[in-house]
Amino acid sequence: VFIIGFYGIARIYSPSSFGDLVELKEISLEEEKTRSLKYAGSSDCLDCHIEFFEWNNSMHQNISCESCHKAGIFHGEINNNGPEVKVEKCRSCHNNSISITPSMTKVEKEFCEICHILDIKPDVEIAPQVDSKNHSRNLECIICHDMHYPRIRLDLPPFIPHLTEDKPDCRLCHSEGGDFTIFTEKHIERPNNICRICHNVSAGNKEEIPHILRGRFDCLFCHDTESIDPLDVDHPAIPIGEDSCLNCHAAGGIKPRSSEHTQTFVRKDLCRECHGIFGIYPFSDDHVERDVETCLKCHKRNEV
Amino acid sequence: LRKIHRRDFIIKGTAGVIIAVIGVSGPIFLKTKQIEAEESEEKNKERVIWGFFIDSEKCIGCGLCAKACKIENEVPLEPEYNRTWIERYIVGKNKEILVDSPNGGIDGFPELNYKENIEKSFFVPKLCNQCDNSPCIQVCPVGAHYMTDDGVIIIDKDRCIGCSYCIQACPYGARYLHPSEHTADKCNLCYHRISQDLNPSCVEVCPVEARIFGDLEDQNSEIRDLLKIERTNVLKPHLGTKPKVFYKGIQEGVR
Repeated sequence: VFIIGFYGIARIYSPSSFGDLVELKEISLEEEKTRSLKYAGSSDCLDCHIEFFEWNNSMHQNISCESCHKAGIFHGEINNNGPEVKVEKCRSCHNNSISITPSMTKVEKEFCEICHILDIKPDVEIAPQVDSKNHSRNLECIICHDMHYPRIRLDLPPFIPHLTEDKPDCRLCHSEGGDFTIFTEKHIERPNNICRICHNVSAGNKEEIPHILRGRFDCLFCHDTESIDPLDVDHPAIPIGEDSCLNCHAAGGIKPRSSEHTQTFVRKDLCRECHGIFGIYPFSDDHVERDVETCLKCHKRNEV
Repeated sequence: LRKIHRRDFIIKGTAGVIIAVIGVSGPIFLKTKQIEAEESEEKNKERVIWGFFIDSEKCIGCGLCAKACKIENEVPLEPEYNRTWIERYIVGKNKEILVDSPNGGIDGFPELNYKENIEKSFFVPKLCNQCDNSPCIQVCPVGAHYMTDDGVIIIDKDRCIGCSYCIQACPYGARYLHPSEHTADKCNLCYHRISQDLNPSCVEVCPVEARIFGDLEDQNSEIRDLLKIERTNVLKPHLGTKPKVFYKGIQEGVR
């Protein structure tokens, strides 16, 4: 009687999973699977922050949004259990113009140096190592670099081949039925006012400036004779001023330096753009007649 | 009282014991067979074995992974509790190896001020190696650790009694005793994320793609491609733990 009684009481008070290893494992696994996520992933961010859609074509393409920004759960410092936030409150911090992205906050130089400080790693392929004293005279990085597009790549995106100052609405000419290139399929959904974030206006087909010009007006502020990429000694003697650079140079592409040539060589027809008769390091007399296509037969990449 | 003959007693007694043994063990035997059959059916469906590839040559020691892990898995912020961390190996000119990992590498690493004596230095991210032949599962006295069908070792927090045997048994030091839950804790490859087809949080935030996560059974996965191309090693291979975390670019002395 005692044994049967004990067994009965034990059965009543033991959980059904007692002794059943398979069931215990399933319960534990289920608990583990249903834990809350803190990091959302970049694709979720881009659902709303559409103006950064081309981030994955930039040099920072491998860096997830949440590597630099906080984890998704801290989004706007609220989460699902937090207080309800009214739209007026959002607008007090967020720009009204493009989407709901906050206006640009100051990015300290030290933040960039987490990856880019000289001596962390000798391998420049991964993250270019920068000696900030010589590179930027201790200026803040964001003066020259956009964090999302630190240097726009050569093949993306195409230039706008005309001036745009008097043409604020791209869709007027470039929508279906128009006479000009229409928006491609993946561009149709994109708002009209973000075109020029990626597409720079080409002011000519001379040597191209390898960065966007948004917000930068004084070329010689950075490119004087002793700081970043100073003017080459062989530079044609033309009047140098704020505007004159842009008469010949367009933003967004190549520059004639050995480290950049691996990219330039993708388009062999560009050799003459920089190295023509009057360009930088011009073709010598016996080379003038030669076809551009043959340059690479003698000149190896690492020699240029 | 009827006298029982000795021969009858032995025959009837033996028969009774045999019937009792079959009666008790039969259902257990059948159930075990059934479970085995179910398990093999599941295995035949689509076998996934999660693995991890770490390119030590790419790691720049920024510490974003260790920080993300603490946030994602609510790991205590004190320096001694880490599911993943980064170690800096400093090889001196005299071949002596120094290892440091201040706060698990979360705040980065202090600049070395004795560079002239250093041959080289490199970073090695560490995490639970998800061993196929894991010592932690073997030593747990209450069976709180188990390996899932996809090869991840999970701690059942409801069963763990916090005896710390596993912490001592782990040859990679990948475990800690949670200060408030009083149970063992370690990396489980963000099981809640990978079961939703997301990357573990450390992989998600790594800016240099030094951490690659994927299915070791899938011939077309990135991790399989890397393992085919690169020459990799595991930590402490001589222990026979069969880790599923593979390292590229580590040298003798990395443990």
